[in-house]
Amino acid sequence: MKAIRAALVMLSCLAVGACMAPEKRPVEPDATAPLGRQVLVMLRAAAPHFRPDVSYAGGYDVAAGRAAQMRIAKGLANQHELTIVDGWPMPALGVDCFVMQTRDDASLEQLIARLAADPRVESVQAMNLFRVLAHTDSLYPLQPSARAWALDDVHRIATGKRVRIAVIDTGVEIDHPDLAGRVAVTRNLVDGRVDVAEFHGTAVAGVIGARADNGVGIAGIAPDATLVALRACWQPEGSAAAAVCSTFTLAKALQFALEDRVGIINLSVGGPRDRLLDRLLDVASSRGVIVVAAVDPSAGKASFPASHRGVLAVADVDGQDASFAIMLAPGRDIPTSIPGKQWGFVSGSSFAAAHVTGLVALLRELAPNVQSQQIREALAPKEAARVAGTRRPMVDACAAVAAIGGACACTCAVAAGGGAPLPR
Amino acid sequence: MAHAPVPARSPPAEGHRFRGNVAALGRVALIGLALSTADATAQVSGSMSAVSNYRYRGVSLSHNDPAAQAAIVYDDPQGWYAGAFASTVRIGNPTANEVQGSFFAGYARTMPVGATFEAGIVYTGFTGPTSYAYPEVMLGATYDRINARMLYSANYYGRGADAFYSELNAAHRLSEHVQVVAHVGALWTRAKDVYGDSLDTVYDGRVGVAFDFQHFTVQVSWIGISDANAGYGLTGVRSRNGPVMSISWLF
Repeated sequence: MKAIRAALVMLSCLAVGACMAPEKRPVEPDATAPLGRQVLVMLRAAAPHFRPDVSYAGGYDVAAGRAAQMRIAKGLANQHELTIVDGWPMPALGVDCFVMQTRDDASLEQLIARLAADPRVESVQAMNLFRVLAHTDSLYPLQPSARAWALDDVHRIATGKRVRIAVIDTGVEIDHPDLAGRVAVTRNLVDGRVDVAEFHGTAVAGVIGARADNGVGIAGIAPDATLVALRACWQPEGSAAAAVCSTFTLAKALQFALEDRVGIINLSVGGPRDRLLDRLLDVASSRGVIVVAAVDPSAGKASFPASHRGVLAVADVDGQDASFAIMLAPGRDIPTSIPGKQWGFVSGSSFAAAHVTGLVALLRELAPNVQSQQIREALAPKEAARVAGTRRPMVDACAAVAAIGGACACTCAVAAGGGAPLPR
Repeated sequence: MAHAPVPARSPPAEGHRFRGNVAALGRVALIGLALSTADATAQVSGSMSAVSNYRYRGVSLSHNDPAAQAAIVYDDPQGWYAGAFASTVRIGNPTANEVQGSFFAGYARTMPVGATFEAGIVYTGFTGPTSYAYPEVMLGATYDRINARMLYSANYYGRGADAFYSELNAAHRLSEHVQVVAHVGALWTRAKDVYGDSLDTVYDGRVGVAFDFQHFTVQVSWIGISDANAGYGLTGVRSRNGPVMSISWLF
């Protein structure tokens, strides 16, 4: 037994040493060059199963196989002259995802083809960049867009209680007066810093769930919903409204949101179609998670993730895309929370998506098991609600609440299909 | 109801026979490594651990003393797996250090909805009291971080009586490196000379915190069992409820 006691002490020392050693933190990604030389390599993770070691409590612990996955990843990196930058388990897809960077200027397409042919690789793709969809031009005059949805009336029926929303965005200022106590969970999936307060994420979170009736600021669309703030995007120095995200950071955030069992995911970002994110969004849909995404006005119908099947695609009222599948919601001159415990006005489809995310939270409070298609139908405005001269009507919050909740939300005339007042 | 401890059984003098099983453990490891090199898509993982008290289904198999453990597991890409686990034990004769070897194999498949189902077999044997060896069949399901499993043996600890063990395990990650783990189990057996004259079901539970750092996992847990005398006929020791610490190096 002395030998075992000695081994216990020795292993303790080694483990403490590992704990004390400064952990390698990924640096904040450069928005341009390095990501363009990176690929995402997915390796199959063994399904969880019985193993009496590691944990008496069973075989669900993904840590057990990670060292083995890292060995395979290192072998791949050496063979293909790559450097491993980062890695993250994605049990929702049954894979471990590794970020690898080329050491030279070899063709990325050829590298991806070589990796795809390697039997150890489950899938491989280039790292894509996404950007938040806020207008960066000057603020417009104050216009309380939420009034178009008769929020006072709607909030008498639902405020988003017991609904969990993942805000996948830049960092949220969690001690902002309108957001204090509103964010249940925060995770920084970009780098190791804590409590990063950034413009876009704080603004989106405010539109969705700012505290109501606190005497300051604004009222969110779903002021009683539970917010989960996942930092997957970062704002470059000196550019508050512009921010970018990568395939890897967005995938990590989606994986976290699935593990956290959120009911709704807000993605106010746009970029190229992405295979890894496609798969994670499919998993989210299969688990009944409603995903709301902003439409990139420059990409229109090709905007991703808005164009993904099952995702609620939302544009602001001035959006140019003519696709009928896109919903319109208030997205211009929106007062909301911004970092520094201040408020400001924002515009862009990012905030239109945030409005719909808040509204979906109200609908889910009224009908927790309501499915994506039912919500889509409830949000689709009736022909009668269209205004002459406009191609699309705006989402009608009162009618949607009436359709899902089965109650007269604002006025009975609205519930009967009259429509809310539309902005001009 | 309290149960009077029964005398510890003397270990059968068949230790030399089971040394072959220890050698088999090494062979399983070598086979796993060989398979991993033969099939590049396969995965071989393992661990070496030290535990302050080896509690198996709530019963101390190490006479409430520390134990050393090792395991190796082979996973093929189709979902088949096989592995071997070894731990130092002190059962039967409490002054004799023996080795438990468990060999397991099965098939696990994750469904599109995210749930994983598995079926497998486990064979457990010991150096020293070789008559304690027993096979089990197993069914299990895992969803997210919750796992349920049932194991059945027709000859539990070689006592000629059957036994069902059901367990529910869960983990909740508090941060990237810290998670809370919990386990409840229930053993039903007719091996009354092992688990007591009037015992039908023995419950065990565990709640703890696991810290993951690079290749190390440290767990601090509290383990309890509904009857401290359960298994006394095998181990010759009462299993005290209390804290257990384990440190594992994962490879």
